[in-house]
Amino acid sequence: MLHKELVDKLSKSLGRNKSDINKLLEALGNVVVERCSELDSISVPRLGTIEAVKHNETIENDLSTGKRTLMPPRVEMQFTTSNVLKKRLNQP
Amino acid sequence: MKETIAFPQLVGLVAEKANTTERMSELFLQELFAVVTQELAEGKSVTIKGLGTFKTTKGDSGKDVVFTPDKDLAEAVNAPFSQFEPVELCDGLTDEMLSEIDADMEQPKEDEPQEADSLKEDTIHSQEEQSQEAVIEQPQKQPTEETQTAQETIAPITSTLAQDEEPQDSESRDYRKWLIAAAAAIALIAVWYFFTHRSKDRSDKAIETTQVAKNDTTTNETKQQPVVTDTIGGGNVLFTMAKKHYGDQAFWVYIARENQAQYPDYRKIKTGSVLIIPPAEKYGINSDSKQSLKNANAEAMKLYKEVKAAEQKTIFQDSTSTISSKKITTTKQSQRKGNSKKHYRHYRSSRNKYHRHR
Repeated sequence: MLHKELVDKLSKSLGRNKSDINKLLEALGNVVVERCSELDSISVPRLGTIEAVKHNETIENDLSTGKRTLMPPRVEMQFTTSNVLKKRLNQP
Repeated sequence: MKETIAFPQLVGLVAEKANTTERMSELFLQELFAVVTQELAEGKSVTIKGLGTFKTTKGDSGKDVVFTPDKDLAEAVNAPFSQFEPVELCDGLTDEMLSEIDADMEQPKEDEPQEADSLKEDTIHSQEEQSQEAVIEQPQKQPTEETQTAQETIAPITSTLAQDEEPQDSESRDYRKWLIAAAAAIALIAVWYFFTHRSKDRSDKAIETTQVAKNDTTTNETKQQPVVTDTIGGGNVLFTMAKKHYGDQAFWVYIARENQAQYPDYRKIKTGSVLIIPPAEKYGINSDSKQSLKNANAEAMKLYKEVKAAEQKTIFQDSTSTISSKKITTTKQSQRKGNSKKHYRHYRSSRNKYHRHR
């Protein structure tokens, strides 16, 4: 489902116009960016947890050339599926 | 930091951001996540702009959801590290040296004040430190009182790094560790460069920035006149040099102007040519000033006209020499023709004499 389709569906089910839905989605995006920049995690019931995980700097060895490269730290976005959703996905 | 935002808290935050009621925000989020869950349960993917894509995948342990963050989200959370790039470590930097840095970083400092740490503060410190590292890479333009060597240049900076250390938690210490390692790598490269390339010919190098200081060791009051040079080649052209040294490629004209005596036509400077980079103050170079950029463009136009005029003059001289050479050829040909006439007359007269005898 694409973003546009999602907006259409939410607009119909909530009885609000598309601009309101877009505004709320944008607000959600901003909240996620703000909180994940602080390395917080966002827990959504029945869906899962979105979290930002920081990976420290690493030294990578190139075995072919013998060169060593210092890789900078980075923040990776991770999603952990809730058990409820996992069960639902895997039910026969 | 590292706080878990529960659903009610999320509702409040979204309501605040969207400037709407909490009830509306709650309904919206409930409906949104219900739709997403439903779509995923049906094996479909859901894309939310500014957040990312949720997709179901089948693994060894059954079906699971994979989240791919939106490009903007990934960039935003990595913004504190955006200024860093992978650094190739030099051969001289051994594991022992790195472990020494690690040990040094892990020792708590007694005289440092205890304060709360955050990622933002960490970023500020890293930016400060990076600017100090940049000082190591760039030739020092300000005159100093004493004779400088590469080691002396690096030593105060590294000591400043040590002095500036703030109390950090484990994460920021790791972050700082990375910076110290990078600084140490640059320092070793600088020392290696100083001792190995001091006497070498500069034209061998593709890109280099060197500082030639005219030192007078007899008195401390004598000030240095640093001459910055850069070499053409390996993608390093006037434009890139200007961007590197002055912050904007529009100032290339001043480098061309500075080296005009040696290289009259800036378009024909060959690879390996070492150019003098004039100090920014000499030509009033300021990349933030629109007037300075305007002046540079005007100067570029002026230089272009000069070079073009010089080229026209050279072409004219060449053509004149060609014409004169043609004249010489014509004269020789006419001389040859004259000689031929002489010969003809001589032969004719001889033949007539012969006929008369017959």
